[in-house]
Amino acid sequence: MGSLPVLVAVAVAVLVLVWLAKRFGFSGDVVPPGAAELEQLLDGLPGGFDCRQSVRCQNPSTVVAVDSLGRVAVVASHGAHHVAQLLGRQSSVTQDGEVFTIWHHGRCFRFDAGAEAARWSAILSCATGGDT
Amino acid sequence: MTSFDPLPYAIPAFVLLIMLEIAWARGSERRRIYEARDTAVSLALGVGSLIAGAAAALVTVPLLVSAHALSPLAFGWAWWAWALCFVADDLAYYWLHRTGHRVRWFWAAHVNHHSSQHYNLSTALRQTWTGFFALSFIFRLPLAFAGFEPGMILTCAAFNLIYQFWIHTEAIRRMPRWFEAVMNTPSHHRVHHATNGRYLDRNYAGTFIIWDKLFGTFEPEVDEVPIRYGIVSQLGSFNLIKAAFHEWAAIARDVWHAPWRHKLSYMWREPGWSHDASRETSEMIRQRAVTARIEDTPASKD
Repeated sequence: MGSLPVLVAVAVAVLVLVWLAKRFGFSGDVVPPGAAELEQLLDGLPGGFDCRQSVRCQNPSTVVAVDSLGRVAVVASHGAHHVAQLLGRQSSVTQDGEVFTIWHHGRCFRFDAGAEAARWSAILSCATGGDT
Repeated sequence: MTSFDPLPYAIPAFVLLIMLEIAWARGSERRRIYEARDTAVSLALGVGSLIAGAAAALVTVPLLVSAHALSPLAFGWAWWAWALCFVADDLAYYWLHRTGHRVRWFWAAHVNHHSSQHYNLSTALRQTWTGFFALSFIFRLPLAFAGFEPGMILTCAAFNLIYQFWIHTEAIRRMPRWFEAVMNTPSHHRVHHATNGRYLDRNYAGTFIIWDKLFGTFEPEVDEVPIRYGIVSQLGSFNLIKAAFHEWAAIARDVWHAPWRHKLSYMWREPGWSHDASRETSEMIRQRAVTARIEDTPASKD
């Protein structure tokens, strides 16, 4: 069997399968993470995650959490699932009044810290190694 | 060199079975099994690996032929040689796969197979583009040295890969007990793709699960523990290039920033190793999970 016809047939099959998956609506029905799922996701972070405080972002499927060591994690949707990732020096934060915008791996997460803005400013500044 | 590649003949069956699984997953409780973008990445990685594999064969096939020429033995094409070769190849695959999880250099080539947070038949096709660069082929050279025909080794390796397609599914809970005892199954392989601490780096088998039982890496699936799929530090991206190369880029970054005496360790130690203990290896995570389980038991709470 020649290589080229096989590759072309495979490429066509791939397109058909992806179209089928889209047609059937498998395009990430994002459900905000429940408490148990949130705990599991955070616990899976390197070193575990002793969550002390969390805040839900304007996009309700995204949560920002801080642990007892001052590490900050974002739990965000990824397709139909969620990922938990720690903020680091590659992340950046901007503050507009009580609203914080976190930039992490090309995605942005916004939340309103309300009366706790000063506290979150210090936490995020420490976690990202910069100024907010 | 005489050789038969069964892979092109299996592709229509792969496509048909993925279609059937997509149809099965339409039910509301199973909607999270598939994700169109994830499927696109998995299938594109599969197509890319076909091309990468064809290019790599230009070097690996002559190497196998040379190794076979040096062998004092020649088993030929007898039926028993086929059976022996398939079992020996599966053992070689076990060690290749185990090394692929325990040595970061090889993990960089294999990680893309695990980086999906979904577990379905399309995940099976999420194959490496960089296996040749990682020198994964060295694990099959001993078979040629041992006297097996190079064409026979490649055919057995292809059948091994085809066998592993159907075990990437949640549609099958358990096979009959005798089958679960000897063969790799969807249940055993779900454990392998899990990121739950208790399941990390377990069940490396290709076709026969007996290797894991023999070498102490077997872990059965526990129905009460919901499986989280993917990798410890989830990729969080549907970018194809990122999926194919992210761990290589991470190795390059770590080697660049590491003190001189630790540079090689970032390539040859286990994934998660760091010179300042700032990260966790799978053993550390497993230990943490085991400790947490012990603390969760009623007796320890008294």
